[in-house]
Amino acid sequence: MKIIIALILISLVVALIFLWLFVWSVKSGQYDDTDSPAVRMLMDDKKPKKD
Amino acid sequence: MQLTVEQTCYHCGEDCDNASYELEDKHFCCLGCQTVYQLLEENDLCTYYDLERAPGNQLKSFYANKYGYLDNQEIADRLLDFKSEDYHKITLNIPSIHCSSCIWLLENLTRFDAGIIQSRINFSQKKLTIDYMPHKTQLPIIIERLCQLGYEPEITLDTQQQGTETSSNKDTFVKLGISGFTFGNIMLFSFPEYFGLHISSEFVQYFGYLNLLLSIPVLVYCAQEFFSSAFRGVAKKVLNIDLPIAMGILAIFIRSSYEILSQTGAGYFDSMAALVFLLLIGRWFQGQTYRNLSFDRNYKSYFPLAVTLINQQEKKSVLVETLQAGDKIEIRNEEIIPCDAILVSPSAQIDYSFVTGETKSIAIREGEKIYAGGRIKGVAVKMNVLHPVSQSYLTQLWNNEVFAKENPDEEHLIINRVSRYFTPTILGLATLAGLVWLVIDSSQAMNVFSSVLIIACPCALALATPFTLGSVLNVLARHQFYLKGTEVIERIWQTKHIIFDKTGTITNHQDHTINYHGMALTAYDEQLIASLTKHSTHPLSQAICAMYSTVTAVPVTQFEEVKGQGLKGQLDGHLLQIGSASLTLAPHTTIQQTQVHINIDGVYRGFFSFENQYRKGLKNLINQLKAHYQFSILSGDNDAERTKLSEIFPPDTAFYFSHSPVDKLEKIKNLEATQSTIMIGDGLNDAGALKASSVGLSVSDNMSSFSPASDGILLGKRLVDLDSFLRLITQSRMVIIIGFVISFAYNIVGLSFAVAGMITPVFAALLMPISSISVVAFTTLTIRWLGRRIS
Repeated sequence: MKIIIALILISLVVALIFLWLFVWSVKSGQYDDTDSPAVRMLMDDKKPKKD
Repeated sequence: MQLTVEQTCYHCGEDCDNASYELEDKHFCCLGCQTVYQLLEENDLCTYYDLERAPGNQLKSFYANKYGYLDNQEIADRLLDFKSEDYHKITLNIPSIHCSSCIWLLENLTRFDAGIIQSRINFSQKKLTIDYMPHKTQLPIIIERLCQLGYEPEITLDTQQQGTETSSNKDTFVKLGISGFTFGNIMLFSFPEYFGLHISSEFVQYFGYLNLLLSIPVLVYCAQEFFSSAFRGVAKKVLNIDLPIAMGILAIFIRSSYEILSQTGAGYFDSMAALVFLLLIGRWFQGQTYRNLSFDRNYKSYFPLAVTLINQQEKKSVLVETLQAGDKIEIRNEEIIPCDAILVSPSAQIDYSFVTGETKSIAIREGEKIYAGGRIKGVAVKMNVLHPVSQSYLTQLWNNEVFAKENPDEEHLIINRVSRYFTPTILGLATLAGLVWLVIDSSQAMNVFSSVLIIACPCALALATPFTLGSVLNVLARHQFYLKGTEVIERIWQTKHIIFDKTGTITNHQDHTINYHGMALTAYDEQLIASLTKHSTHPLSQAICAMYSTVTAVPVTQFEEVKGQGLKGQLDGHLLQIGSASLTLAPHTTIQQTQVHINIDGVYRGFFSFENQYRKGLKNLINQLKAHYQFSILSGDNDAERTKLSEIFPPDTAFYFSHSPVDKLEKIKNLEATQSTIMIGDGLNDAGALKASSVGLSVSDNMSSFSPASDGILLGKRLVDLDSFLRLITQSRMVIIIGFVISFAYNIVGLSFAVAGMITPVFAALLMPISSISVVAFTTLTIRWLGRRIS
């Protein structure tokens, strides 16, 4: 049963890493604009020249 | 019969009524749209039209060198985000960004201008960031290019507030994340307790310590705002809703810590985390704002940033706020006069429609006084500054004390009126129950006291208002009625009196009814008039021309446009004069409407009168509203329309005509002394009235155009639905009260257990979310259902 204590600690550490990632993503402004990146990735870099 | 095919503009999607702009197989509604298309085609940027159908913006009036003042280093420096010798960065506010084509085009600006390194859009904030090389391109060039494309930026110098807003938004998200995280994990560690699993006490203790550890950030970071708000309330002697919440959180924390450290129980940390998490969601939901709309504009947003100062034959751009009395300035065509001044040039045409709503332009002679807010028409004029900008006739409006009042007291909010009674009741009940238990079983007394505080913690109660009002805001926004915040709704509940501005608010700017008065016109006369007016771009000429769109045009042999007077032309051997009374030798009239006079071959024939048209459905709107509201009309115009208005409005309506902006402000202030009012207006001239009223709503025909500071912005064509909007707002009050009743019911059940000393952590952990979620579900679903009935 002792292993449970270790496992729970590990899971908590993993969860904390994700929490930290979330906080970091908010602070670095990734949620400031959720619209344009979604559109931008669908745009071609260069339109083929018309003949 | 002629078969007409409905054509819409390839660029902007507007109907091409009778315009004939065609290029290849594409139709355009105006020359502006066609020019933009050609510009894009030249630069191989037609992908713009592939991404969305008709994505273009209609071009606004734009004149050459409007942004020339950006050459001034001092001004440019205040706008730039970053500046080095060969690299500049600027962020511009562009309200007309609206679709994915806009993103594509504006991020491809480098193709127009090799000096631009990169351009990036922030769509939700409608901002464009441009990085450019100052030795290859210049700021005025970039901005004029944007204007040519229909993306005119809004340039003001006070943009500092924006930054703090986004950082507080980030804080909310972080707090939500942390409280959600701890809520989930504490619940996980509490499962053995929930299911009554008998595991070794070693584990229970271990989980308990983990829970205690996890809940510390919730107490000190996430719940911070409830404590500070409760303190603020107590300091102001207001028992606000955050006080019982803060007491509950504190009671949970102390009691649970004690239980865990003394190993007498499992604690209620799960309830605490859930409580904070749910309340934060409520705050976030309520606090959603329309970041792309500005509710706080003052006169500075209307006025130019800079003007041309004439200093001993030398011209230079200076910031308007640095103008001193006695300075000589030059104002060009279409520019707005920033301050009161005396005209130095021989004459000037000034359009005060911005200030008064009146569309007629006024002629001013040398030495006469010109007021701030007028727009120069025609040739550039010189004038001497009379007062600095902030002391001008119009801008003095903003020095009135009504503009200083901020943050109406919290006391009147519905939730705080409830908590005024709720908080003492709960405290009394907790003390009483504690005392009773002291007699029965003194070891339980402290437990019961804290249980009452924990159970009574008004989570569901506190969530009823934000979720109801937040949903109302969302529903209204879907119908293009944007309110500044939820407290506006609560203020609307109190109002019984609606005051309308006339021009631009209940009338439509674009539509006129045109009537002819005078000697009858033959079909041939009409033909002549139509042929001449066709050649003029003046809106009144175009309106007359549009009226005779079916006649065939006669060739015009001689054409002259007399500035500010009208048209002269020679057609088919006849001399035609169309325009002002003085040009056409019209007899003097006292009618004060906008008129266009006709003179054919030296004989005065009559005139066309232009009457503003009231918005369609206005009469119906007034009929719907009159059972609940009293009305007034507060207009800057003369009383020419009084009889027409009294047909629409009920007999007890008060009419106030010829009111200046300051008169309007004072009138509203007087009315406000006895009752709460809603002021609905549109122009800069209503700014004071909008601010002085309890609820100021500004009407705008175009969401990206300017509207004065107000509590809400309503799209012009939606004004006639105001009755259904107000009905929803009134109903929302009832929904909140029912929400309160539901949460009280839960509280009574919970409290009876607490007083009896039968509370367990599982019970608390279940009751809190169930009560909150049912109240949230009830309020949001009811509002959505009620909102569906708005057409």
